Amino acid sequence: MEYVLKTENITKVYGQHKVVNRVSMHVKKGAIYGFIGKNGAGKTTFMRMVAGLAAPTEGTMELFGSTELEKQRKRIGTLIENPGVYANMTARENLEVIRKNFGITEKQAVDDMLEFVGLSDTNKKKVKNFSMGMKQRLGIAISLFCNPDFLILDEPINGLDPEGIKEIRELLLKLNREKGITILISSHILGELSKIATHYGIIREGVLVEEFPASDLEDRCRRCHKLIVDNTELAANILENKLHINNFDVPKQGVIRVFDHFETMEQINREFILNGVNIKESYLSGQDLEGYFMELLGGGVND
Amino acid sequence: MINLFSGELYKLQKSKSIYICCITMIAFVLLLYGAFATAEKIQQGELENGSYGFEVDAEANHGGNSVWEEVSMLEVVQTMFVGIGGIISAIFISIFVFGEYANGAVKNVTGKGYSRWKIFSIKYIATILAALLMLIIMIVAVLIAEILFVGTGRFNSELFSNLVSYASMQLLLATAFGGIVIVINQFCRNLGAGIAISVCLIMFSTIITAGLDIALRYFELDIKASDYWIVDLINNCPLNEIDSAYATRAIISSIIWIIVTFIIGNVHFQKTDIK
Amino acid sequence: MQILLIGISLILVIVAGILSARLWCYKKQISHIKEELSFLETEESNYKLTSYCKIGKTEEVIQCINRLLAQDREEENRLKRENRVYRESITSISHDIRTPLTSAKGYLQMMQKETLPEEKRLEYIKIVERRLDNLTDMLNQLFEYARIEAGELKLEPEIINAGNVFAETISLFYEDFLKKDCEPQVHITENPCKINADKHAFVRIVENLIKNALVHGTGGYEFSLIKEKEHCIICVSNLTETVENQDIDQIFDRFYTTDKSRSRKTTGLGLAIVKRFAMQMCGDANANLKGKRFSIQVRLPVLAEKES
Repeated sequence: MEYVLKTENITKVYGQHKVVNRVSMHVKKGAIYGFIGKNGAGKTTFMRMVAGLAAPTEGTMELFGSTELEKQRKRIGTLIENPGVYANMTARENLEVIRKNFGITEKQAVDDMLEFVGLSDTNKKKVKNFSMGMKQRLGIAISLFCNPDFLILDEPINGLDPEGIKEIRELLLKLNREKGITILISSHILGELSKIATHYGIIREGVLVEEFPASDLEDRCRRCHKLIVDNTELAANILENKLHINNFDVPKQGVIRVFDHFETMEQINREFILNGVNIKESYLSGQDLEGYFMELLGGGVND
Repeated sequence: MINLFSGELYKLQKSKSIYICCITMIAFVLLLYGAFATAEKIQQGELENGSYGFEVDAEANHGGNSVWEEVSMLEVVQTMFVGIGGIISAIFISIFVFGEYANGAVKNVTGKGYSRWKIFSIKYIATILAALLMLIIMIVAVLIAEILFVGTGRFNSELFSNLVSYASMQLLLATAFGGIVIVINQFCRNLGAGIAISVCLIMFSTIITAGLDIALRYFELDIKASDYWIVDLINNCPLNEIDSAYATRAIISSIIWIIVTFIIGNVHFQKTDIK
Repeated sequence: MQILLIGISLILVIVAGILSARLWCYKKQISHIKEELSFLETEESNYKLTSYCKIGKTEEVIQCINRLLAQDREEENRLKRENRVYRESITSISHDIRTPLTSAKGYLQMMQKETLPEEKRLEYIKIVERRLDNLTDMLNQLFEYARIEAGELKLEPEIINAGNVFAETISLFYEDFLKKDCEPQVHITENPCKINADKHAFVRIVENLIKNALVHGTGGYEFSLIKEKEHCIICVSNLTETVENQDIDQIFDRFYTTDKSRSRKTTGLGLAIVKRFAMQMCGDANANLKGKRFSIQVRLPVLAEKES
């Protein structure tokens, strides 16, 4: 079973509006999948459908390679939007309700989990008096309580202070590494996501525009001398044989990217022109993560 | 399923509202009995007319009969069921059902291996049972208050057999009414609206059915709406010797209302998106 | 008479009812457990068994099975982790061994030039010697560890004065601390601390602790040996820039090093050897990190006064 989650053309329509439009996502086992999109792009709705809170209007999905969704959902832990809590009970009581509902026999599990997320001193404090960070921790505790294999987290660091964010990041990495838990996490704090994500999925206005592993990202953002030419093969040949430059690639027809020798830009330009390659554009390119994502999220993909 | 039920039980145990509602009911019972006891004392001359704010009109009271002869225990039970009992159980049910949706706690159990109809059914059953328990506590409170204020003098087998049959009928009707309150709260996930609508039903729905009765008679149809509406049935339940006509109507209507609300609630829960 | 009969039949009915209810519960519970176990057989998962209803001792059985599952998974994870570390280490160690050799070879090649001035040649010879010494150290450590693991290293315990040996060993590193310009604070208890231990192993423990501190620590060295009830506790602590909280659990694992680039030529075995020796001598070693201060404590059982 390679994919923990595989959806095919999942669509959700509210009234006239297609909030989620034919999304086909693939989350590999053991991955930390960073789900990126602007507010209102459809991330939360999509995640709610995966979690079984909302029914898709169209499309199918497979969890852990099986279509028996209800059965497989026992293995999923979720934290979607606000954590689901009983405001008039304490953290311990909230977890106790979960424990009873799912027939978990170990009474110690509640205290262990509270300690794990750092809520063991809350005792009689009711959840309605919790700070946002504490509520978020409780939400994470709830999502982890049933020993899941797949975590679906919607903006889990929402409302946490920097130390809390670091703790959650370390916790997620630990869970992924030690227990092999696959994580689907949505956020619009790119910096944080980029520290832990192994794969990215970009959603824009309900459509999943791109899906790629993190290693690709580095590739796409690399600093390079970019040339748009009319004769790609000839240009490549010139680079290799005449200029002895090997560190370049051809992402698509008409585009050449040279990854070093930035000081020889003019020389490259000259050689191309002298040998009959017409240059439409020649510039230094390279983006940071944010720039790359902004491009994907905002306008079209510039290439 | 058993696990879900055990979860609901735990929630009920930990919810303050169930205790407050029970205490309120008991307080009302004691208040009623206290009022009657005071009136009796005034009647018998032990207390001055006007003490504790009570004034007893001796003539209106059939010339000085004991208060206790006018008011039987069953009548107290009736007052409780028809009035306060209904309102307080409706409030409790609303609070309990709303608590599920207020902060989205129901998210944790939905879509995690339990089918939606199981989840809803267990919640329905647990809520109704809690409400029934409250009403039974109310009846027990009346019994105890009777013993405290009047003593066991008025007890006899006839009283008890009437009490049992009346209480059973009322509890059945209360189940049906509870179902209606649950569905109302399920649809409008708003505590204020839920309570308001339920209480209004208790207070005013009989007017509507009366109006419907008139309309039906105008069209020369032989059925009365008020014969089948729960609140009417609760109000009209005979104290002594329930006649079979009424019994049949009440039992069948209750069962139908229970089934209808159960199904409507289930279907709604199936389709709805959980926030 | 009739009432008695009715009473008895009522009781029988109730008992029958309770018994059948319990039977139903047992059946449901067992089939639930079976379903979950067959699921766990086929799928690799973190899932733990749950209970359908509380009946008899079935919940205790479930808890036992869950504990077994946890042990199993823990073991699997440990193996995976160790395998990964092991593979990574083989790669790094071969690189570490190759580097000084290549460097030495490079210098040798340079020495073959006839035009090389004599002082340079002598200098290069010294460098080659140092490189080979370094290499020898690393290989020794590797072999020692391999022998400990294989159980080939037999300890020969004798009664030694821990405090004295500790002080002697520290003094061997005097020059190194001088070079680093960091004089360590040493505190050794006045009470004689006699332990029954293999002298070589004990010296090795102290050596490895100090070497570790020298190589990875940034300053603030504090070494102490104190006697606490029945144990002699050696504590080596220093300030560090590289150790983090998540390293503490693995610091005694073989081949583990916080020096990600392996630029300091360490095998990652020093502390593993410390722990092994400590445990073989019925003691223990643990590490903790408070802010920037990293410390390791080794405790060894002390001989009771009258026995010495």
